[in-house]
Order: sequence, then structure tokens, then C-alpha cells
Amino acid sequence: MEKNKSLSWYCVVYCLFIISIGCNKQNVNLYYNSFATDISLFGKTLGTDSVMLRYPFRIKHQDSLAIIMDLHHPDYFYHAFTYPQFRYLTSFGKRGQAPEEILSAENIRLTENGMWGLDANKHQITNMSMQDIYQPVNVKETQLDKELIRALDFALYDDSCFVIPDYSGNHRFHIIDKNGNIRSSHGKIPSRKHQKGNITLAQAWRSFIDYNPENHTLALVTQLGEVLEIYNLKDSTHIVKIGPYGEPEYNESGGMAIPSGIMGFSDVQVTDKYIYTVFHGRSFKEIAQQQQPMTDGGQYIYVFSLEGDPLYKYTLDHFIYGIDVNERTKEIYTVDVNSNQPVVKYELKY
Amino acid sequence: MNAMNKKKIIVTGLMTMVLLFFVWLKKQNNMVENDLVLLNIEALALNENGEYVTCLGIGTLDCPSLHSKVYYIRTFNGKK
Repeated sequence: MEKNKSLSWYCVVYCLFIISIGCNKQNVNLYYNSFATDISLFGKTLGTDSVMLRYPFRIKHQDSLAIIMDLHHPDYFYHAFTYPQFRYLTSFGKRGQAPEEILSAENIRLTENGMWGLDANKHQITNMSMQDIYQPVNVKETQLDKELIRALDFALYDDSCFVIPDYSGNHRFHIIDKNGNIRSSHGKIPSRKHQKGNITLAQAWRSFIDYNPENHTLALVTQLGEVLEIYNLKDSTHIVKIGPYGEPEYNESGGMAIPSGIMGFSDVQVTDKYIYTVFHGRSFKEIAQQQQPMTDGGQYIYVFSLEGDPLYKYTLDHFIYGIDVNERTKEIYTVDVNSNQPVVKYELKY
Repeated sequence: MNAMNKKKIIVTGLMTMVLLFFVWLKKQNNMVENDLVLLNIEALALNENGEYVTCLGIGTLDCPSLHSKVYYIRTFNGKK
């Protein structure tokens, strides 16, 4: 009898052990409703009179150089300034179909080794030397693996590899090697409404990404809806955070995702301490009904911990798209597409 | 070896097999590599429902048919 009892306990403990293996840290889905701190920020507009920007989408800096990427400029995608004064230097990255020209710039990354730019329509990432800012030189053009289908954002994984979001719906992101080939594929779209991953779902879940190799943190934020994902590429943990507007909403038409619901995030930056995001929250119904002149951009910067805890909600006095965070000086430089003086600086309050 | 010990060994062996099975399941990678999938994807980009997909303005939405960045995307029935 005693031996039977010990065997039963043994089975119970073992079953609990099996269950605990299934409940590991890899898929923790949590909703957030509010932020610990809600602050209004008022920005200082920096003059950039020497160059007319049409649609400044991204802003990055490295040492004393800042680059603004203009998504719809008629001539050049990239515009260089001094940092932090934002005195205009030059424009480069000519729009066009010629070999060294750019069809569709998506994002840029700046390092000590120069600048990297993604061209989605040419399906390539170009590394440019910035030693002479007035004559940047294409050092290397990396043609991307066709199986990526379409690369709409990228981050630097290390000296030679990249992280690129998945477009097929079969995964969440890929690690790409220095030759542009897929080295590994990771994750799945964490949709609760749609179980089958396909291109349409991937289009709706199109995300902006950033990766910080210091803490191995990859953050993805959805352009539609309000979903933040955090992957730790060292210990393989995965956190999903869904905000009040929920996951991306769309209608399917001919295999294409037609956005409905809301415009969500438009930029993300992972620092050593936090994850900074730009959030819009405007419905497409509202966007469609908007009178001229139309306001475009997000009014909020949401700050999360590296574990996805919602910490700070900053409400801005401008509508912005891209951000560049400087935690050392506690400043965020942003770009406002609605203004002829698009660079707006905010002082962070923690 | 008495019957109870034999029973323990059998149960332990079965549970070990179950554990190994769960570990194997977790390591499975379902990546699909198939050129045919890519061909189907290109076909799906064309609207098969008789609907027009219209991409309007300039913005940041990736227009699935034009591959340019637009402000708004909508569909309408061609019969309207």
C-alpha cells in the first residue's frame, strides 16, 4: 500500500514536471492598458532651412553626424546634418533606377563603419562609407535572398549579418548572412484571430524593428494595431504585449491585406535600458475622412522596459514619424512630416 | 527483483519516452522552402475578386500592388 502511494506521488510529480516544460518563458502573452507615468512634452523646433524635406521618415545619428531619410523626396533619400546642431551638410542617395541609385529606401542604420540602407524594390542592402560626407561611396551592395520576398525593414545583427522581418507569414523574422542569404528563420506571427500564417497576414502584421546587440534585444512593433514583441536572441525568450487597440485588423482582397482598424506604431528604438516607440492610434476611418490639410504622424512616444512593461507615455505637441533617442543627454530628436521645419527636439522626463 | 521494482522501471521508462517526445516536438522547425509557393504569391498579388485596390496619396503604407508608400489603401467594386 505504502509503495503504491509513493508510486502515485512519483507520477504526479512527474506530470507536473512535464507540464512545466510546456509552460516555459517562450510565449508570454500579456495585455497592457495603461502606463505607469503619463507626461506631456513640448518640443523645440530646430531650423533646417537649407534643405526642403518632403517626407522625413527616419532620423538617426552617429557621433557628430545625423542622417534624415526622406521617403518621398523627388531627388535624394538621405540628408546629412551635423549633430546635435542639425546644420545641413549635403544630400545623397539619388532616387532612380541606375545601378547606384535607389528605388525605395525603407530604413537606414549608422555605425562607426558607415551607413547601411535598405532598398525594398531593389531587394538589397547597401553599405556606404561616410568618411567624406560630401562624397559617400557605396562600399558593398548585398542582394537579398529571393525567399525573403520583400524586405520592409532591417536591423544590424552584428558586423556582417542583418535581421529582417518575414513577409511570407511562415515566420516572424530572419537572420541574414553577409551574402544576403537566410541563415536562420525564427518565430511565428502571434495572431490570436488567424492561425494560418500567409502573406496576407504578414502584410497586415508588417512591423518596424530594432535590435540592440548589447542586450540581445530585438523589438518588433506593428504598423497596424498595437502589438509589441520582444525577442531576446541570446536566451530565446519571446514576449508579446498587446495594447488596447489590439492586434492588426485588415480585410483581404485578392490575397492582399487592406488595412482597417488603426494606424499603430511607426518607429522603435531599443537602447540599453528601454524600448522607445512612436504610436499613432488613429483609425483609418478617421484618416479617410480627414479634411485638407491632413495631419500625418503619431502624437505619442511609448516607453517600455526591456521586459515589455509599459513605463512612460509621452504625449507630444507635434505629430511625428521617426525618433532618435539620446539617453546620455536625455533628448529625443524627432521628425514631423507636417512641418517645413521637421526636426523637433524633446527633453525626456523620467 | 520484485514486482514493484519492475513496475517502477516500466513506468519510468514510459515517462522518459514521453519526455523525450515533447522535447523533440519543441525542436521542430516548420519552415517551408518551395519555389512554387513564391509563384503562387506573385499570382495572388493580382486581384482575383473583381475588386480594384486603390492606393492614395503619399505615406508609409506599403501598397501591395504598386510597391510604393501611400497614405491610404482601399478597395472598390469595379461594377460601381
